[in-house]
Amino acid sequence: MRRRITQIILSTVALLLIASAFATRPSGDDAPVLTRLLAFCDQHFSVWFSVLAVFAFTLGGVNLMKTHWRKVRDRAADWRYSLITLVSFVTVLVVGLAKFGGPPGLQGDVTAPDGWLTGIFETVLSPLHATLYALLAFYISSASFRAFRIRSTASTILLASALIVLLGRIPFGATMTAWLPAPLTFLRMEDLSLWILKVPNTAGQRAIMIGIALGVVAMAMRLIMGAEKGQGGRSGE
Amino acid sequence: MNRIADILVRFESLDRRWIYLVMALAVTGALLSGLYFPDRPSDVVRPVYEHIEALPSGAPILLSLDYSPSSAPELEPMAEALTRHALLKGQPLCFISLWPTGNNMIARVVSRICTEEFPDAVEGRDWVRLGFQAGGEMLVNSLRDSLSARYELDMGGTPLSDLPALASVQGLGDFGLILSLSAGQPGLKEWILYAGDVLDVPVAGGCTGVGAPQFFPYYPLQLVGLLGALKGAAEYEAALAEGYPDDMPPVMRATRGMGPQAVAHAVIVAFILLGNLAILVARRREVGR
Repeated sequence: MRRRITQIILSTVALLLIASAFATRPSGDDAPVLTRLLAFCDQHFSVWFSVLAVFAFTLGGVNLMKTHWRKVRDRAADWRYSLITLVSFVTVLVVGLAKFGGPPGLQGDVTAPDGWLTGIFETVLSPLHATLYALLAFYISSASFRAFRIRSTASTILLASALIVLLGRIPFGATMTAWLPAPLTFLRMEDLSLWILKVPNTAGQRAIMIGIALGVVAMAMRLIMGAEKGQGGRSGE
Repeated sequence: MNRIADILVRFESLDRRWIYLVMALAVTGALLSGLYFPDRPSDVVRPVYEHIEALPSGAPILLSLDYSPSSAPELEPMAEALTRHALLKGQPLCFISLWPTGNNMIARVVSRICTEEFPDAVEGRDWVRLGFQAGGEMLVNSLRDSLSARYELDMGGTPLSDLPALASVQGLGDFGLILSLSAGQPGLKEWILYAGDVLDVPVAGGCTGVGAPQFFPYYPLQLVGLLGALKGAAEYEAALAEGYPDDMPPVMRATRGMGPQAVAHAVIVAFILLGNLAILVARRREVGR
C-alpha cells in the first residue's frame, strides 16, 4: 500500500511537471484553465522542492552528526578525524545561528565583516580550500607526464591535442606561431586550441549529452510507470 | 650524443618528486618576480563584453556566483571584472548564488569592487545582494516569473520593492543578461536550461578550466559567450582595458595570475615532451639491439 501511494504521488507530480514544461506560459487571467493550472504547478512545485531541499540540509546535518558520533563513541578507525568533524560542525553551526559579532536576528546579515562566521570563512575555510586546490597543480603535472605518452595512434592524437590546448592557453604558445602569414592564421596555436574546443570537443560532448539525456528519459519513464524496482522504500518490496 | 640519450632515457621513469620540485620552483619564481603577459580577448570572450556594452543604460544584470573558495582563484577575477564593467557602464547588478558558500563570495566581490573601487555606488540602486537560497535548478525555475516568489528581502534585510535597481524586474526575463560563474552543479548549465532557453533571455558565464569543455556545445546559440578559467578572465580584463583605458588598474588580478599559470603550463609541456623523447630514445635503443 505504502509503495502504491508513493508511486501515485511520483507519477502525478512527474506527469504534471513534464506537461507544464511543454505548456505555453499564460498571458493573463483569460488563459485556458489547464494552461494556468500547469503554470501554477510549474511555479509552486519548484518552491515546494526548494522547501524540501532546506529540510534535506537539516537531514544531512543530523546524519553527519549521527555517523561521526558513532565512530567517536566506538573508537572506530580514524575516530579522531570524526571528532574534528563534529567539533568543527557544531562550532560553525552555533556561530552561524547565534550570529556572533554580526547583526542579530533572523534577518541579520550572515556575511557582516565583523561577524565570527565571516572570520571563520576567511581565515579557516578559504585557506583550506585554496590549499587543497593548489595541490592540483602538482598532481596534474605528474599525471599528465605519465598519461600523455606515445603508445598508440589514439594516445598520440590525445597527446597532440593536449599539447595544442596547453600551448594555446599561454602567451608562449601564441608567440611560437605568431609569425604565420595571414592565410595560415588558423594554424596559430591559440586559434587551433579554440578550434579543438569548439569543434571536436563539442561533437564529443554533444554525443555524450544526448546519450545521457536519452538515458534520463528512459529512467524517468521507468519511474513514472513503476517499473523501477528500487523506488518507494525497500527494493523489490 | 650517447650521454644526452642516457640522460633522456632517465626521464622515462622520473621520480614524481622531481616534477613537484621543478613545478614549485617555477611557480614560486613567477609569483615572486611578478611576471605577467598581456592578453587579448578571444572570439568566445569578446561577445560577453560586447553584449554588456550594447545593453541600454539601466538594464539590470543578474550575476550568479556559483562557486566556493576552492575555485575562487579562477572565478573571482571574472566576478570582479564583470562587476567593474557593469558599474562603469551603469547597469544595476543583482548578485545571487545557487551555492551555500555564495553569500561570502558575494560579500568579497562587493567589498573589493563595489565599495572600494566605486565609492559613489549605492547598494540598492547600483547593486543588490539577493544571496543564496536552496533548491539549485528549482530555485532558477521558481524565479522565472517572479523574484519575490523566493526572495522577499535582500541580504541586508531590505524588501525587494524598496530596491530601485530591481524596479523594472518582475522575473528573470526582465534582466538584460544573466551571468553565472560556475564551478560545477548547480551553475551555468542550470541557468541556460531553466532560464535562458525557456525565457529567451541572454545567458553568458564563466567556468573553471576543467569545466569549460562541457559548455562549448551551448555556444553560441544558448550562450552569448564563455569565460574559460583564469585565461578567460584575463581576456575579459584585456577587453576592459581596451574599452576603458582610463578607468582600469594598470594590471588586473587575472592578468597577474596568468604569469605563474603560463609558467606552470610551460613546465608541464616541457615534462610531457621530455617524457616522450625518452620513450622514443629507449625504443630506438631496443631496435638497435
